[in-house]
Order: sequence, then C-alpha cells, then structure tokens
Amino acid sequence: MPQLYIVVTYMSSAILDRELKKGSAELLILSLVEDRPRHGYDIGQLIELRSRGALRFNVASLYPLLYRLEKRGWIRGRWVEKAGQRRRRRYYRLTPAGTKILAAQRDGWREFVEAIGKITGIEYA
Amino acid sequence: MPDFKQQIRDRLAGSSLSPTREVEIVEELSQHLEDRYEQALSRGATEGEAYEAALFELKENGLLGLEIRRVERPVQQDPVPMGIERGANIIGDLAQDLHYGVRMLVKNPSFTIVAVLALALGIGANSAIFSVVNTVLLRPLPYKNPGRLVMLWEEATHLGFPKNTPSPANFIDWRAQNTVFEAMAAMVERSFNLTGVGEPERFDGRRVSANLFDLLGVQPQLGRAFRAEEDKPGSRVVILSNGLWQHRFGGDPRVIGQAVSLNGESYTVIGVMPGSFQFPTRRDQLWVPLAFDAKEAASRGNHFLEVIARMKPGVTLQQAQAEMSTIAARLAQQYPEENLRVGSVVTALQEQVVGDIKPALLVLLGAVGFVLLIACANVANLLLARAAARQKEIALRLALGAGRSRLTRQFLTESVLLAVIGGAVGLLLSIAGLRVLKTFIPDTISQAQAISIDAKVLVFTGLVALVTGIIFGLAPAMQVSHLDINDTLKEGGRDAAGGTRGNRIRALLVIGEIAVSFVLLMGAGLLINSFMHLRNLHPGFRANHLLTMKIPLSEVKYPDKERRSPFYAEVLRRVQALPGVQSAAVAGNLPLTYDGDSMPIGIEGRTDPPPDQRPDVILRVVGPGYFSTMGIPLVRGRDFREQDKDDSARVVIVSEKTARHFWPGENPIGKRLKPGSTNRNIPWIEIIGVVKDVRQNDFVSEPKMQMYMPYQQLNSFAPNALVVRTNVEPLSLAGAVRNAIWAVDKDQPVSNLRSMDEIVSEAVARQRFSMLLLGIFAALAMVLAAVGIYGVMSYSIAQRTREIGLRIALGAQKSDVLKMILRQGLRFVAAGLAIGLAASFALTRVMASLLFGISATDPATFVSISLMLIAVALLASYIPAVRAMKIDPMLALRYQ
Repeated sequence: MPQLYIVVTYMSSAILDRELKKGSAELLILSLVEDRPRHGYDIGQLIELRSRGALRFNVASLYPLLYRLEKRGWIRGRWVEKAGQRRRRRYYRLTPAGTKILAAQRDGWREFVEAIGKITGIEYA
Repeated sequence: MPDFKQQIRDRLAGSSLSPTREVEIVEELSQHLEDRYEQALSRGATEGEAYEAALFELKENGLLGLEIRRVERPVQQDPVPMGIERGANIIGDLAQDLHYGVRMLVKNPSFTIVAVLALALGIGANSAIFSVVNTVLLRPLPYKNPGRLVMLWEEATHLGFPKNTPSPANFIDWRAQNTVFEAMAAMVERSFNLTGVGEPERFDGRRVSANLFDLLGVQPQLGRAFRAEEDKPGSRVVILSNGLWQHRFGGDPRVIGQAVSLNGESYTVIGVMPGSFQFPTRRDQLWVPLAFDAKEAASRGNHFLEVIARMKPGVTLQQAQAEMSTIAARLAQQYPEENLRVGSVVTALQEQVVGDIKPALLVLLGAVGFVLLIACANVANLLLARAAARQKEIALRLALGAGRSRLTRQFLTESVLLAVIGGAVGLLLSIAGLRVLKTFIPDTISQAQAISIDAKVLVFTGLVALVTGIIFGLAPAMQVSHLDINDTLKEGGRDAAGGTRGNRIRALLVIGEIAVSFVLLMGAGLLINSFMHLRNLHPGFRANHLLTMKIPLSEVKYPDKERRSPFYAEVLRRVQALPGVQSAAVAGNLPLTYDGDSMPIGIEGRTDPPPDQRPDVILRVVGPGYFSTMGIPLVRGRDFREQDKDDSARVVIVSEKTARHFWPGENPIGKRLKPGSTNRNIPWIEIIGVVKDVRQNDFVSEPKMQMYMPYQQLNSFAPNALVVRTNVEPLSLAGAVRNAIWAVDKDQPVSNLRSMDEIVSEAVARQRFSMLLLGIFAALAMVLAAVGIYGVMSYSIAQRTREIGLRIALGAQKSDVLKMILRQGLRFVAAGLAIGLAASFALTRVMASLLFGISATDPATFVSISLMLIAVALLASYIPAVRAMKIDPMLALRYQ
C-alpha cells in the first residue's frame, strides 16, 4: 500500500520509539501485577529496577497507561489501607480478562522476538 | 514534605474529569511524587534536589493532561455487552436496545431520513384517511341513542325508485299503525326569504313535525322546541340555527319572541339550536312546523317527505322492517290506485348518512394500507442492506455468546423505534394533509367539517406504527436468526454470507412492491378513466358561458302568475340589455340542482295502464327562451312563446326519450296528455315541440323522461331560477345582474350565483374526490416502488461489481452489461406484474360501484398501467445500469 509506505517514511524515530514502548509497556505492567497486586509507584520502580534502568516510566506515561488498562477491564485498581502505612494506596491486580490477554501477548511477543532473532542473528540465552 | 497536589491539578486542567475522579487521580499521583521525593532524600539528596527529582516525573509538558483526557473520556465504541444473555432483565435490555437503536439512527442520518420519510408518508396517509373514516363512518351521530334512529322510505323499485320519499297520507298511516317506533317525524325542504333585517337573504330550511327535536333528543340552547299544537296550518313560529342567529342577529338572546319576516309573513322566533346541531344537513338554517293542511294530509300520490323514526328499545331493524312491510302491504290493498306494489324500506340513519361515501372511503382506506405496505417493503429493504453490512458485527456477537433471540429483539427494537419516529412525523403530515383534504371533501358528505384527529386516530396511528415496525423489522431479524457464524467470519468479502438468502428476500420484497403498486395504479387508473367518461358525458345543454342564480319570489308579494309575470318580464328586459349578455330566461329548477317533481302522464285516446306500470316523467317549468339560452336543441316543433299564456291553449314540450317511449315511430307533435292520469279534471295539454334529453336529476345516470311547461300557464309552479348566457366570463356579470334585479325589486333575495360549469362540476364532486385521492396515493405508491427497485438494483450491482468487471475484462460490451441489468429489472417487473394482475382482477371488483362507463377489468386500463409500470421499473434499473457500465474492470478486479 503506497499510503502506508509514505507514513512510515516520515514517522520520526521518537514516535516509533513511543509506540513500541506503549505496546510492550502493556505487557510489562500486566506481567508485574500477575502474581500479586501492586501500586503505581511499585510498578514504576520494578520496571526501572528489573531493566537495570534501561526502561523508565514517569508519572505522565505510567498512569495514563494504568488507567487505560483498567478501562479495558484487564486490570482492576482498589484503594487499600494497610496497617502501619500513613495513607491508603491504590493497588492494581490482574482480572480474568487480563490473564487471557497477558497470555496472548506473551505468545505474540515471543514469536516476534524469535522472528527478529532469526532475521538478525541475535540469539538469546 | 512539599505538597505536589497543586502541580498535578494544574496539569490536569482542561481534562474535564469528573470531580471525584480528579480527586482520586490527584491523590494517587501525588503519592507517587511523594514516594519519589522520599526516595531521593533517603539517597542523600538535599530537599531542593529531591523536590526537583519528584517534579521531573511530571516532565513532558502537557502530555499528562492529554493522555489522561484520552483515557478517561467516555468510550466511543458501541457498548459491547449488548446481546449477552442475562436472563430476564427485559427492561434493562430494552433500555439498552433503545439507546443503541437511537445511536445507530443518529450515526446513519441519510438512512434514517429516507426510512423515516417513507414511513411518515405511509403512516401519515393512513392517519389522514382513518380520521375521515373515523369521523364519517365510526363516530356516532350527535343525537341521543343514534343507533335507534332510522329513515323510512317508500319502495317503488318497479318504477325506478327503490327508496322514494313517502307521501303525507302514507306517513300519517305509518305513524298511526306501527307498534315498533317510539316516535316518527316527517320533514320537507323549504327555503325562506328573510327580509326586514338588513339585506334580503335566502336560507334553506325544513318544515318539520313538531316532535322532531324530541325524537332526535336535541333541545334548543335558547328558548324551546315546537309544541304539538303548533303543528297545524297558520302557526307562525320558527327555530333558528346557531349560525343564522349569530350571523343575522349577532347572537342576541333577546331574539326569542321577536318577529321576523319569512317569505313575506311574520314568524315568531321561539328557539335557537346549539352550534353543533345540523339536521338533516349543514345547509339547514331554520325550522318551522310541518303543519299539513287538509288537502296535503290527504295526498297519497304526492311523494315529497323525508321520514325519520326512533325504534323502541329492544326493537331490531329486522323487526321494524317486517312490521313496516306488513303495513305497506295493507295500504297497497287499501289504496291500489296510489300504493299498488309500493313497499316500505327501513334504513338505519347512520347507513343513510354515510351510505354513498362508504365504498369510496373503504377503498381509500385499503389504498393507503397498500401505500404503507410498500413503504414497509422499502424500509425493510434498507434494513436488509444494512443488516448485510453489519453481518460481521452480528456474527462476532453471536460468537461471543450473544443469544439469537436477544439479537432479534435488538433488530425489532430498532425497526419499531424507526416506525414510531415515522409515525410521529406521519401524524404531523396527516394534520397538514387533513387541512388540504377538507377543502376537497364535497359538501354533501355530512360532518366533513368535523373531521379531526382525536384520541382514536392517535391510538390507530400508534398501533399502525408499532405493527409497521414489527413487519419491516422481521425480515432483517429473521436473517439474523439464520446467520451461519462460521461462514460469515470465514468469508473475507463484503458480500458476506446470507447473501443469496438476503438477495432472495430483497427480490421478493421488490416484486411485492411492484404487485401492490400495480393494484393501486389499476384502481386509480380505473377511477381516472371512469371520471373522464363522466366528464365527457354530454349533459344535454351547453354548460359554458352560463350564469345561474336563484331568485325565489315571496309568496305574499307575488302570490300568482299575474303578479309574477311582470316582474320576470322587467328583470329579463333589464338583464338582456346588459353588455356581455346574449340571452336570459327563467325556470323553475335548473338541471342538476333539484330532483323532485315527477309524475306519470295520461295520454289522450289511451287507457291508463295499471298504477304500477306508469313510469314517471320529470316536469320542469320554464319561461320563453329557456331552451335557446341553455343550449338545449329543439328537435321538432316550436319553442314556447310569450303568447303561450293562461288564456291560450295549454302546451307542453317533451324530451326525445318521452317521445320515443310513448309514441315510438310516431310524430308526437299535436298529441295531447294530462299529468297524473287521463281521468283528472284538467284540460288536455298539447305537445308543441320535442327537445334533446337533459341530465336533470343526476349527472351519472341516463337521462329520464322529461317534459316542460310554460310558467305562464301554471299557478302552483313559480320559476325561481334565472339563467343568463353570456359572451364573457359568466361570474364577471354577477354584480350587474343582481343590481338589475334589485332595480326591479329591492327586497328580492338573489342567491347561489354560480356558473353552470360549477354546477356540473359539483355534480361529479364525489367522483372527483375519490379519483383525486386514489390518484395521489397511487402516485405515491409508484414513487415508493420505483425507489425500491432502484435501491435493490443499485445494491445488487454493487455486490456484482467484480463479476461485471470480470465480464468487461473478458470482452463483454457495455451494451451487454446494460442488457443484463435491465433484464434483471424486467424479471422483477414481470413477476410483480403477474401477481399484481391476478390481485387486481380480484380487488378492483370491490370498486365496481365507484366506476362509471367502464368495467372493473377494463383491458385498456390494464394494458396502459402495465406499460407505465414497466417504463418506471426500467428507468429505475437504468440509472444503476449506467453506473455498472462505467465499472473499470481493473479496479473491480483489484477489489478485495
């Protein structure tokens, strides 16, 4: 399709970066809340920590994403007040729908990475 | 700890979040920033550095507000849960369906407008005609227990009068001898010249039995009704209509007891009727006692009464008829001379009032029903096309677990919603339409002015809309329930599964539309044709350039012919002197304005046949110059002359039909006759001329036998009409002629100034009314059907784009494509015509009573309507066909 081709040509690398990040960010967040509920700061910290600082979300990028996932019904947020903490926090957990999506996205991502690997010769241990 | 909340709020400004949601978000985000701040402090940053680090989280200016807004704004996609079976939450489902339905309609404005308009036309036409039917046929007459009111007629079918006006003596005997009626009253038309107050004016009224108002159960709003003792000669009391009271007496209640001058005699006003009262017609403005004199009361051969009666409670029409037949048989035995074979007919008043118009109204009601059917078919087609486009969506829903019944309900809700909107718009259309309709409804249809939209019409419209919605919603809904999910989801193209099935339903709908419009067009065609026949009938006179008016003379001022003649002579002299006037004449009653005055005749030298074998001859009294002015050709003999007076020999002119009947193959000139019978004690009257037949009583039936006598030789028949042949537009002379009359007698009322053309046209008003309305509805039907054909052809061509492209690519000529598509259109038409033809043969028979001079299966009409419909269908397929010819094979093949 010629139109699509033009769009791609003019797509700045910054936008491409953002889109890629958004696509993978969903997967990241869903994975992080899979085993237990977490609040936003926790999620942000974990992403930064586990990627050793390579991936970093700030407030302006993380929370809209959380809200979007919640809106889609993939995660559900709840205010929780825990003993010993001075304030309530909003914890997000995976919903059944989110579980399915997560599985599908994991598969998709694996296939994608494998495909890229085969083409580029980059292998992962 | 610094407070970050304000910083966050600033960035959220303009996101138009709900206040509670905003508080939540601010709380959550500020916690994040505080965590960040504390973390920085714990890593040894200064408070200033920690604050900077926290605020850094909010960097990417404007992005936060934008992103949040994007996430939080209401979802634009369709509500997904629709169609999921959730048990019995019908109300919730309905609300959801309605909500969804409204959104679908708003999202497709062009579809909605077309569908609503088609439905509005269909439903509006139904409401309008139903409100006429409701008022005229269904609403009870405005009298007490109207179901028990009947009209009584003499039955003399053997003489051509299945329902004849009874004679006074018969009426009096009926009244005395019956046991089935609570009361019986008679009336007879009479007109009155009201003089003394303002301009002289003439009013139609009735002489009525004193008990008439009691019998009807209606009392005057002012004053009182007649007393029994007032029903005798010489009693001079009058009851006024509300209209007359308002119009001439300014609604002054002091009118009761006041004396008014009627036909030159003084009457005392004793009552005023309520505004809603009209009896028997809207034209009747005043009522005086019937007051038979002895001679009138004894008259058995003179038939001029209208008789109304109220049946006793519990008496049926059949019982009443049975007793009246017995009484009539007894009277026939007792008075064979007048009553031989004369029976009696009892007709419900309601039937009497609406009898004539009923078939026409029912045909119209059927016609608008057909129009609505066509509209339904069109909308169903639109919905089907849309359903085809939505098949993917539907299949997806089914796959996700939506129940078929739930989806069917959704479709029906949408279509009913559409129908209800169409109904509302249709109601508005019908209100506007009724206003126009009222101006077409002939005066003779009683209660025409009372036609209105009432609760019954509203309920009717609502029901029609509901049923309509269900009918046209069924087709697409049925398609849903037959949808094969697998096929639909698998197949990639836009012409997804169910295509053949959908196409078959669409084709059937179009064929149905063509069939129904054919029936309607046939009906309209037959009516138009028969109306043409009617208008082409020769009335027997030249109607153009004739000005007519009534100049009823006062019986006091002009009691006999000696005093009448000079008046007429002077009026005629003055009128004939007016520029633009060719000639003028007086007459008793003009053709098509009166149907009384007929009698048998006795012929000199022949014995009278038995009473039941003496046909009536219509008698008209005319002045000299009448035939030449009216343009009635004289076939033989001579016209009346000024010299044909009282002192000269009595003369008569007969019509051709009379001459043929009594003197077949003979020359009637010089023969002599007597009105009534040979043994009457009056002089023989000699025939001096023969004129062409004239349609005297009604325009539609064949002219009856007629004879004319000069008014100068008759005392009891005063001419009261003036007819003027002009060189100019007749009505332009109205003022001048009236002034000429007033110059002779300033108190002389002049009324009903009309051209003869107008009178003729009024004589066929009812036929014109039916023709016009059915014509309009048929045209509507044809347009709707054409739109339907066009829609289906366009749709099927859009579906066949690839195929057509392929054909062209493989070398098909454009003309081949055109032929192929037109052939498809013609197939629809042929099928529709075949069904329509069969249906018309069956259905147009109900119209037989509305037709004139043409049979209900008139071949010419059938052929011309078929040709017309074929032409329209071809045109409707031609436009999409031309579009198909322009298909670029390359583009078409690349599609998909």
